[in-house]
Order: sequence, then C-alpha cells, then structure tokens
Amino acid sequence: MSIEFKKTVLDNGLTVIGEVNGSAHTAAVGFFVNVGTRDETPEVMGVSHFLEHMCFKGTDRRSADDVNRDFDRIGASYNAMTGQEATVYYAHVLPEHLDDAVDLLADIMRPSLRDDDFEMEKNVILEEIGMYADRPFWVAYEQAMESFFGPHTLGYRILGTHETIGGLDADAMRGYFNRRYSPDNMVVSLSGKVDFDHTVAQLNALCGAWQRTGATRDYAGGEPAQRDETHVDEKLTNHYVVAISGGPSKQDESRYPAAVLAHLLGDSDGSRLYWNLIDPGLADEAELSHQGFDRTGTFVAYASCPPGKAAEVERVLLQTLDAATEGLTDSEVERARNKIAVDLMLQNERPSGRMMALGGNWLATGEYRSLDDELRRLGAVDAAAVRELCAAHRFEVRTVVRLTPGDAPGEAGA
Amino acid sequence: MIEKFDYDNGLTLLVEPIGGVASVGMTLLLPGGTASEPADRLGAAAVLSDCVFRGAGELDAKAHSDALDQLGVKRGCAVQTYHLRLSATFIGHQIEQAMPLLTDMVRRPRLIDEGFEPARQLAVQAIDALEDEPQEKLMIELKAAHLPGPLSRSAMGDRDHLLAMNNADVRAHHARTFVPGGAIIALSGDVQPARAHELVGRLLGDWSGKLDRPAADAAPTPAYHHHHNDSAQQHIGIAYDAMAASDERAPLQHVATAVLSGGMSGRLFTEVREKRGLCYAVYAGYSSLLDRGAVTAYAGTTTERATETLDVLGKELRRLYEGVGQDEFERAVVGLKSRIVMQGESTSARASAIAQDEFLLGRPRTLDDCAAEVDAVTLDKLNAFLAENKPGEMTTVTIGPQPLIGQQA
Repeated sequence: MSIEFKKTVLDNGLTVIGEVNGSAHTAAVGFFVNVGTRDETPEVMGVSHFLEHMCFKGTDRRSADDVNRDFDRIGASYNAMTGQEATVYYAHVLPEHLDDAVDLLADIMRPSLRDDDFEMEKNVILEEIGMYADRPFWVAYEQAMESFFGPHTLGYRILGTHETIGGLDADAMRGYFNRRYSPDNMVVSLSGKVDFDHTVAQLNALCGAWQRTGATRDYAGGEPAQRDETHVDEKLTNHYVVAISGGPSKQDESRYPAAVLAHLLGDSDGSRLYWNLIDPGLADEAELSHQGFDRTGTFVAYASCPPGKAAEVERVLLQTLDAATEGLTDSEVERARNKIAVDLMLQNERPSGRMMALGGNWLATGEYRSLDDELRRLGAVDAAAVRELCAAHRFEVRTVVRLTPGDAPGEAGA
Repeated sequence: MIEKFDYDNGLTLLVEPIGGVASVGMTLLLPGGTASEPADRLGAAAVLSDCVFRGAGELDAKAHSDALDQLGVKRGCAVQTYHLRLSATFIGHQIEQAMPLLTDMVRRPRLIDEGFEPARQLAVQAIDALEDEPQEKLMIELKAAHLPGPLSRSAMGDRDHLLAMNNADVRAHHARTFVPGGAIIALSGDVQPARAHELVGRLLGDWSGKLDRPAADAAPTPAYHHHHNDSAQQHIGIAYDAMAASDERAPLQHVATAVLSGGMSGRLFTEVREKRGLCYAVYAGYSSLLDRGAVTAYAGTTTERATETLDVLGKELRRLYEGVGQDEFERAVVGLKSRIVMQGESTSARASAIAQDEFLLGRPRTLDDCAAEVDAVTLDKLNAFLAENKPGEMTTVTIGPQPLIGQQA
C-alpha cells in the first residue's frame, strides 16, 4: 500500500492537499473553512453554524432538493459540521463518484442564501438548540466554556441562542459569508483513491474565479478565568461537573504529550479517572480530553454521578488531575501511547478518517504529517515529557461548572 | 471470502481476511442477552457485562486492563436481546497476545464480590440517569411497548431487580449463558483463517455447555404511550412490525426504508425537516430479531410543533406503502450499495456484521453477497412488495411535557 502526499495552491489562494492511496476502495473529500464561533461577534453568535445549514439550501445551479438528491444519487456519505474554529463540508464516496462529489461541494461553497430558506431553516436551528438543551453534558460544557473564556469568542455557543438566532437577519449572514468564505481561508482535503492532478484541474475550473478577501482571525482576547459556579436545574436527576483548564494549542508540539496525558488520566477505559471514579461505582462517567485550539488550548474534565455522591466525585476528580505527575511511570505512559497509536492506525484505514485528520491538521498548522511521522512523534513521549507539560499547564488553574438538581453538593467539597 | 469453522462444542468461528489493513475486528456473541435473564433478575446481563472487565484468569482488574492497554486493544461489551456481545479491535500481529486476555473474560472472569457491588450501583445509576436523556429513554420505552416479552426487555435491566440482586445471581447468569452452544466468534481484517482456527480451538475448544433460545410471548396490541418529562423537546417514537432478516423479502424492506430515510433526500428528511422545518433530527430504521423485524422511526421537536410532527411522520410511514418512484428508488439502491463498500473499510464493523448474519441467517454474507441482494431488488418488485405489506397498527411512544394523542378529542 503506497501512499503519496500531494499539495497545490490555486492562484486565488485555495490550498488543495491529498493523501493518495491507489489501493483504497473509496475516496473522501472535504472543504475545511477556517471559520467558526471564534470569528463571530456577540450579535451574530451562531451564524457560522447557521451558515453551514444554509449552504445545503441551494445555489445558482441547484435547489435545496437538488443538493440533497445529487449527493444521494452518488451514494455519498456526506454532512457538515461547525466547531469553534472550523466549518467542514465533506463527502465519502466510491471513487467513480469523486468528480460529482467535488462538483457538489464546490457548488455549495457558493450558496444562494435566499430569504425564505433562511426563515424556514431558522426553525430547524431552534429545534437543534432544543435537542441539545436535553443533553445535560452539553449544557454544562457550553456553560463551562463560556465561564472559562469569559467574553472571548471561544466561549461562544456554537448553535447560538434563541435570542441571537431569532434576531439574526439574512443580510448579516451574507456579509459574514462574503468575508469569511474566501479561497485563501479554506483548504480542500482529499484521501483515498484519488487522481490528484485531475481533481486539482476540476477545482481550478470550479473555484478558480472565487475572489480572495484576505480573511484573518482576530487573536485578541482576555485571559481565561478561574471560576466556580453551580447552576441548579431542578428537573435533572444526575449531577454534572465540567472542569476546564489551559492546555497546548493545535500548533504546539506538546500536543503529543497532551494527548498522552489525557488518555492516561481520563480515557474511558483503564485510566486513572476510570480507576478512581468508575471502577468503585462513584461516577457514571468520568473523562478528560485535550482540546487544541488555534494558538490556545484546554483540557476538559467531565463527570456525572447521582447528587448524593457529588461531593466525593468532585473531590476525587480534581485530586486526580492535580496529582497527575505523582507516581507517573514510563510504563503508564507507554500504555496510553499504545492506545492512541491504535486509534491513529484505525483512522488511517478509512479514507474518510484520514481526510478529516489531514484537513484539520493543515488548517491549524499548514503542515503535513504522515501516519509514520505522527507515530514517531507520539512514540517519543515519555514520562519526563508529560511532567514538563504538567508544569507548563497547571490543572489547578481552572473553571469548575456544575449542573445539579439542587442543594449544590459541590459546596461540600470546597 | 469468509471461512466458517464449527467446533465440536457448538461454537462457530467466522474468519474474513481483508487486504490492506493492519487491524483485526473481533465480535464474540455469547447467548446471555436480556431474553435469557431470569424473569426476576432483569439486569443480570447488564451487571455481568460490567463485571467481565473486573479481573479474569490470573489477573486482577487493574492488571488485566493494563495488559489489554499495553497491546492497545480497544474493547467493549454490549447487552443485546439474545446475546452479550464482546467486541475488540487490535493490531493483527498481536492476535496471539490479545485473544487469551479476551477469552479469559469469557471463561475465567473473576466475578468477585468486591467487583459486583460497584457494578450493580453503576447499573442502577444508569437507569436513573435515563431521566436526563429522554431521547435514549424513548427508544427503550418504544421497544418495551412494541415487542413481546422477553424480547422487549431493556438492556439496562429493572431497577428493583437490580436492588435485590447479589453476586450469586451474576455468577449464575455467567455459568448458564457463557457457553459455546449458540456462541459465535467472528474475526475480520489482518487475520489468517487456519491460524485463527487453531488459536480459537486452543483457547475455546475444551469449553462446554449449551443454552436453549428463549421463546417469545404473544406480542402486545399496538397503542399510544406517553411518559412525562419536563424536557425541552417532545421525543416521538413509532414502531411497526416488519419481516425478519431471514425472510427472502428482507432486502425489499431495506430498500424501502432507505427511500424513507437513506439520505438527506429521503422522504422523512424532506417532508418533516426540509419542507416544514418541524425538527432537527428525524429518521427511520429497519432492524431484525430472529423471528420478527420492526421499522422504528424517531423525531424530536418542540411542543408547539409536536402534534404536526407526529401527524406528518405517521402519514409518511404509511404513504411509503402506496409506492415508490424511479428516481428515489435509484438513490436508495446506490446509497445502500455505497454503504456496503464503506463497511468493508472497518474491520470491527465487518466482524460485527458477519457474526450477526450467522445468527440471524445461519450464514455470513460477503460484501459481494450483500451487494447482489440489493441488485436483485427492482422497482416493480419493490412496489409489489409494498402494496402487499402495508403496515398494521403502529406503536407510538412520546416523552415530553405533555401527551400528544387524546388531548384534542
């Protein structure tokens, strides 16, 4: 299985990258737009995500029905997603349908944004907000991000709120689109059975006339906050707690030790949080993950439990984080590394997984790393590297947000 | 190409080598699902599915878990209707080290008292936590309302039974249901059939026992059920009977369901979400047990739009049986065939699929077999099938702030 990396930049700044694997059975393509809630203003919070929905609502060449039908006609596995810093549109297809998938994705990157579609889709967004409101972890996580980042846009709600979405008008969205969906603010990622030069020629024909705007990200912003908050929601059954602290950015090479640390402390199996909280039956869930952002990053710890166990669960959760370097051994680090390595290898077996990893990494770093390269960097992480990371990013500096049915059990742990 | 080996003790092994991958997916179906639980110990399977991770063979829980992590073995145990499904994914060249650790969980789990109590607590907590997860609770309630006992049981068990349970109950469930007679093991990916046959024989060949499959009661009469929850959305579920996977008409039902919900141009997405903006999530799926199947549909919506959503959803489910057009038929077929190829890229998905095939159909299907079944469906056959198989009464379950049916009368 020979894999070849390819890259080109069109005259208007649109970058195209690909990992070509001639023996793959499928192909995957994604448009990664360097835009998310981070680039919003308070009045239009949620516009990046709403815009993602609107891109499926039709173009000069296609109605909304045509877009959905044309994707389905080629049997594509396709969707889009919006995060704090990226909006991704992707399709996974049989190789003979890759041209059609590229044509469709390029087309919807220039949507019509019609007023009546905008008003209809607003209902769907409001329903999506309602759906997430019924997921307490999500509610607690969003609140914790908002409290940790304060007024900074990384604390914005991806879906927006009833107020911001209800008050949004189509002109504001069009203006946002015109600035941000610039070819020099995007990358096209390809993986699997791909004729790279052919697809580049196709992209040139489809996207070559797009004008660049020189969109840039505003990195200004306040310092993360240390807060301790209790939010009571009487209709809940369980207690939910989220703790956020600073971590390495997407660009930082210490993202490798960060991934190892998150696994050894907070993977769903065999981690310290597992042994301290799940194994003894205290918490239903307890995990830690590293979230790299553009020039900043966080660690997010999370646990849920019955309210009667909340004080103990919070105490153990925070103690486990604070004592990360105690008793840390190279063999514990090695186990975590091995788990991550298998995840990377499995991701690599599917063009859709590889396309996502390539595009996301390129958007963040402008750099390509092969699977072997990633595994080599991961393999170099030892206990000393993890200790160094813990010294640089202290878990003690954090925001804790709890969502609880009542009587703020967290106070007992204070 | 899938090789099938039958051992003398009743265990069936399926091996599907896949080129170009480094991983192996493993699925082991053990005949200890919810349908095999004692009627007064519902939840024994749920607790056992946790306790198998709490030490096995010579290793205590931590040592066993560390050994699996050292190899990077991803693993899980899920409670199903007929089975406890132990699944794992690992790197192919480590099969010799990984498999004994996994089979020890089956044959020699420690099942010590110290492990039982937290496992039981977690099982009870999981049931309590469902109140905060109305969408998940809905699917459990829909199954309970639509299927006959004991097939209708929740994978999470019964709260009162769990409170009355002790470790002897879990040990008994293990002894009775972790047996080779009726068990199926499937390996897909970077694996050689002859070597796998020898290895599994060495690990599981001297295992013994057999469990008879439980019989189903009479099915309940379809009706409307509402469960109160002060949730933001009304969660709506509908279920109706369809044929079993072993029925030769099952591929027709698959294509029909794909017309309804195969992609974003499917009828449900188009009619409920795109045209009317009634919801964010709406979908339908066809699933099968041994002797029966069901189509289930879901939509989540705010209370003001819930009655209209339920109405449109129900009408679309029935309208499907009035016939399908050429264009939507072709899209459904292309989508299904494309998913078949993509499933071939996941060793864990393939292992799970062939083990399930062996159980439901008595034979594992290759990707080519699956594609040929879809190819054999023509629009004429599909429309004839739909005309002859209109759904009967449907079970409807809602969870949310208020009931949707019976209020307007």
